[in-house]
Amino acid sequence: MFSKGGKIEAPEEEIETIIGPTACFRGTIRSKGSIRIDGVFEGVIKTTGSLIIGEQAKVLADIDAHNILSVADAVQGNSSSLTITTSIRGCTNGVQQN
Amino acid sequence: MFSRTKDKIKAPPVETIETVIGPTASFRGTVRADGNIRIDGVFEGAVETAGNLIIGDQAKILADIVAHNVSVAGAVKGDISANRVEVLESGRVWGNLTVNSFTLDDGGFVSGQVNMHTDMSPPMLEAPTTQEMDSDAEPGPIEGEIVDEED
Repeated sequence: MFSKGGKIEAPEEEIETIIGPTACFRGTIRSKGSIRIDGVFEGVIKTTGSLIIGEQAKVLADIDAHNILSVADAVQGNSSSLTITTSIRGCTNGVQQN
Repeated sequence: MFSRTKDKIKAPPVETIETVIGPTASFRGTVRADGNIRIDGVFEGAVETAGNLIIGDQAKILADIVAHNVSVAGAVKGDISANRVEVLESGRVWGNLTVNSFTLDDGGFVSGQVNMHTDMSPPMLEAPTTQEMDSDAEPGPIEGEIVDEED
């Protein structure tokens, strides 16, 4: 599912940053580890790890990540990553650069 | 589950940390949550949660904080408003605290005011009563003064 590009510093299993289901973030996040979002996020996400967008998440963001795995109902914004994986339920709106 | 008004005294257990900002993460902006938050990275902006906030020893925070309980092991620059604030051994706080209770461990650093949520006026120094004044005014040798009468 994920390409092992060798640039990932944190193992994919180890999610360093988690934004919980009741949390509402507005701003910019930069990370070297993997990020999982289950809540609401608005802004910019930049990570050299993976970005996992949970089922209940609402994300309105410009995303620059190594991998994006999205199972969310709604993701809006521009995203750039090596691989973008979306589930059947998920949809991403915006420009995608793989 | 965590309604802001009713359960304000009852915070969710520490074990269920809902939101984590990892050590390599750097966040700029505002966060609002109902659950517990743990920050190990760099955070700039504002944090507001009805749950607890745990600030790891590697964390650098430049933000105003509103939370139920706050445990500080890292560095915080900003005001904290909480039911309880504990500054641990490695904790450093530059800012004012508004709390119901507060603990500061040995080695911890706080630079700022500590205020309570409930205001209380300090005990006033009452004017001495007339009786006390009379006894004070009793004639007698003044201490330290050389008295030659006995010779």
